Amino acid sequence: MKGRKPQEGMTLIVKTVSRILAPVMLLLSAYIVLHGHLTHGGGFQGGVLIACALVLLLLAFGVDYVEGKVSFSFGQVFRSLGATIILITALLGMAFGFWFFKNVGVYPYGFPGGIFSAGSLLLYNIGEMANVSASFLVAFYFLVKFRRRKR
Amino acid sequence: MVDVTFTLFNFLLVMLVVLALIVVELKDLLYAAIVAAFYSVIVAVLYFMLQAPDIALTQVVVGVGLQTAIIIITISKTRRMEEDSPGNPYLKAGIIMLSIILMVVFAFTFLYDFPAFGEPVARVGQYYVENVLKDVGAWNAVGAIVWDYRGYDTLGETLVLFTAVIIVLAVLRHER
Repeated sequence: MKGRKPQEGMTLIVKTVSRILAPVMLLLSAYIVLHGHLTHGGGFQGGVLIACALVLLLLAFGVDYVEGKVSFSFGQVFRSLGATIILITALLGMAFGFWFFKNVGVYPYGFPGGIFSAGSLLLYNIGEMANVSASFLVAFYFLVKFRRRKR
Repeated sequence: MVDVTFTLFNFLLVMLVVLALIVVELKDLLYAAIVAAFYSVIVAVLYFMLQAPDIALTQVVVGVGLQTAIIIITISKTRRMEEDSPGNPYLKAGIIMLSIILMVVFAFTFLYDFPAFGEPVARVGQYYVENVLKDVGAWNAVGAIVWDYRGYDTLGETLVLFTAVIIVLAVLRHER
């Protein structure tokens, strides 16, 4: 990356590898998040993996390419949405007549092992995924665009 | 009869020390970042052999993905090559040797009081493993602990991350 700014992207080899790899990473992260209550991993791991896929594209194609797809303000809205989902799901326990953070399922409770089971764990994982992925992506946007102030 | 898993575990532990020394000694920081990512992979394999796949997943995702990306972006904004630090090299080597000797002495002195490897002091994990299907109904016991038994902890961690990014944006906003 000698003499090459991160706004311009990298060579053709890196671009091709990232183009193949990034959708696989997004698919894997969707699996990790949606099966967070069944298999290992959860919202945090899946969210960081989504951020990693987007940062890989950011390093390979330049920041303008990724910011054209996922804008900065969308990231802000998305991560606030994730935190809101977690808080609302936690408040649902009170709405159903229990205490704060009581694990109640909005959907039918289901049998252990189904995708709709284990109370609200699926909603918690989705909210955490939104919060974590968009938070890291927004921080990376700022890190890439950071320039020292002229004195 | 040689235990293959035990031998592999010890071999990976030795590999960790070798890789850490390589990371410290490399003058090209881009190579050092990539070797550090490989280090994280080995740590994840060790976690997996200790039957902690959740931690292994986190270690891979953070250590290989985020950490390497942050270091690469930082290198692209600063210098790639590390310069020799000033000072007497023999003095520095002596200090390092002294700290290693002190660390070994302290380890041999205090680690005898620790519980044996793989023997947990807190027995609460047994309750979770036995009752997670009845209480929560989730197959992933760690996910159930994170979001059900210990929900307040996770809520706090989520809000810590949320607030940290807000503060990063507030500090860096005028620097764009």
